[in-house]
Amino acid sequence: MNAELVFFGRRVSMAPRNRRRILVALIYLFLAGMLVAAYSFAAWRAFSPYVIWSVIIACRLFLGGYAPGGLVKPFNGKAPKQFEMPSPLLALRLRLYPAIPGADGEAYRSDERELSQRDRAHYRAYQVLGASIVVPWFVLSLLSDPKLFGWSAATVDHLCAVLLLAILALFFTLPQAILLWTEPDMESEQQPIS
Amino acid sequence: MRFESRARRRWLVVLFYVAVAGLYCGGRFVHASAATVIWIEGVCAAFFLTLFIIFTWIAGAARCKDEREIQRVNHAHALAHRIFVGIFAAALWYVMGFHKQLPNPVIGAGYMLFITLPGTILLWTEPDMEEPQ
Repeated sequence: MNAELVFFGRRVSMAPRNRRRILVALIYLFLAGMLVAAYSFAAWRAFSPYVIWSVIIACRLFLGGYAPGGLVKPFNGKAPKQFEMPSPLLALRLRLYPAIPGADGEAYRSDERELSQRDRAHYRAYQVLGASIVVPWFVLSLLSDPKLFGWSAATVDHLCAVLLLAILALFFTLPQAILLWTEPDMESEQQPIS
Repeated sequence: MRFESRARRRWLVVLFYVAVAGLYCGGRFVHASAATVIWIEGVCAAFFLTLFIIFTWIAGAARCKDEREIQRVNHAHALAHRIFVGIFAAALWYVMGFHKQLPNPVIGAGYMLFITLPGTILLWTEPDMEEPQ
């Protein structure tokens, strides 16, 4: 796991666990807000791609794991493809520089301990997700009335689609979130000289 | 019945998923009377239930005896997570995006896959075990 987040050219230390927990909480608050918005709008089909894009951007910029970039190293251990073309001007203006993988991309490769933590986090996430998949199943089986609530335009299809979106979001973010949440404070790279 | 041999375990896995496929699809492709379809579904369900009990028992028996087993179980879950999310997302996209339908069968089949996938990976990848003397 990286102890530092590079966000629009600014280096933010993520060594303290509190900071990582705040980041995870903020990401999930944002995603919950997006899902509530998707539930509130009648045109949820048009809104759902925005939820999926939010998940991808959250992984790309903050969480990592299933995308290169972010705090957690890529789960597949592979460095992203490097292109010969220079970065677009917009990316340079936003200070979104491509990471330098180093020789053989060792910066992206997890060591034995990190692999063990990754597998453990996936095991925990799997238990949570097993329970979450049952919810839309029950919703579909038990609620037969297509109009769910009198005060809302939402239907059972609508609720089911939003629940499935939430499950997909959890699938792509939960292992990284568990890693960031549970990992203790990391040592700072700059040790005081005695 | 002994399952120390990997080949036997793989046969069990294949047989199990054939039974699952039979349970889900059997009734849909048979153009017979309702009573015949119910009989076919019933036989498939009984076959599936028997295999499910054997499958979960064997997959469970191979678990968490020592540190190495814990590592293998965790790794199987990590692999299952990645495989499942790919299949599930593609199935949802196909059913809800293309056909504009409620994904009841996808969720049902997805849950079945979800609960059996780590066990399947363990049974499929674990090498031949030593037979007890």
